[in-house]
Amino acid sequence: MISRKEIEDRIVSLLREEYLKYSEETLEKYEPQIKASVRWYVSSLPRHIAGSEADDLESEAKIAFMDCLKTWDPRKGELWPYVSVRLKGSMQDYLRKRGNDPVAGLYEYITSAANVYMAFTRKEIAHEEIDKNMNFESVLQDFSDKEKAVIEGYYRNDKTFKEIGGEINLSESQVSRICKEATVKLKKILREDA
Amino acid sequence: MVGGRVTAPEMAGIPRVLAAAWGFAENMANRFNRELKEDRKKKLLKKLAEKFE
Repeated sequence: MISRKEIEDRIVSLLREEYLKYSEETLEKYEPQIKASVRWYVSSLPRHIAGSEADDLESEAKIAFMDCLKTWDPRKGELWPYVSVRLKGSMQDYLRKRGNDPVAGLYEYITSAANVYMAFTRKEIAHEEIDKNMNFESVLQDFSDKEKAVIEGYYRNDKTFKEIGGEINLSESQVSRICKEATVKLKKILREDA
Repeated sequence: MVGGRVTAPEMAGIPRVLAAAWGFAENMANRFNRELKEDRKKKLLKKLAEKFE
């Protein structure tokens, strides 16, 4: 015998499943509020971070918003109060990860190593860079073209998700999702290599 | 009339388990629907009924 609670859980879960097919509509509806939350959060950041991360934080907030729709339970309250708390958390997490990201650190390492070598000989630095880049290319060999474009654009060329998306005809949120997945993959490979 | 019981017209075609919680289902469909741009309440409930069969 199914309990009343089980029936209600199933109803909510099935309705949510159907509702999620139109979740882009909810994103559109709440876009002004999401943007306002991002602006408010960015305004509390140091200027050098705010300037370079604002676009990516907006993408991150939109992704967090879409994730929240998958877990939102209308029995427990309205959507926006549930989501708004999580948006700030997702932006904080994002900045925290960016600061300690080993992949981002890899490029910083290459750049600083290159500068040191440059002080000795330009020829040597060229070889050193090529070696490291080749190593990096070999790490990326199992990645799809889109993943490569996103990883290179984001970590190597310091482009925003918006800029990368414009180059490879994908939306900001798609680029962000690819970046997230490719980063996990890359970290795994780098850990295995270490 | 089926077996001495009257089936309400609005419940016709809705599985019994779901019919027993129909008020709740409508309420939840309303809340999900409120977050959409177009009115899809009927569609949400129709799909729900299909999945309960």
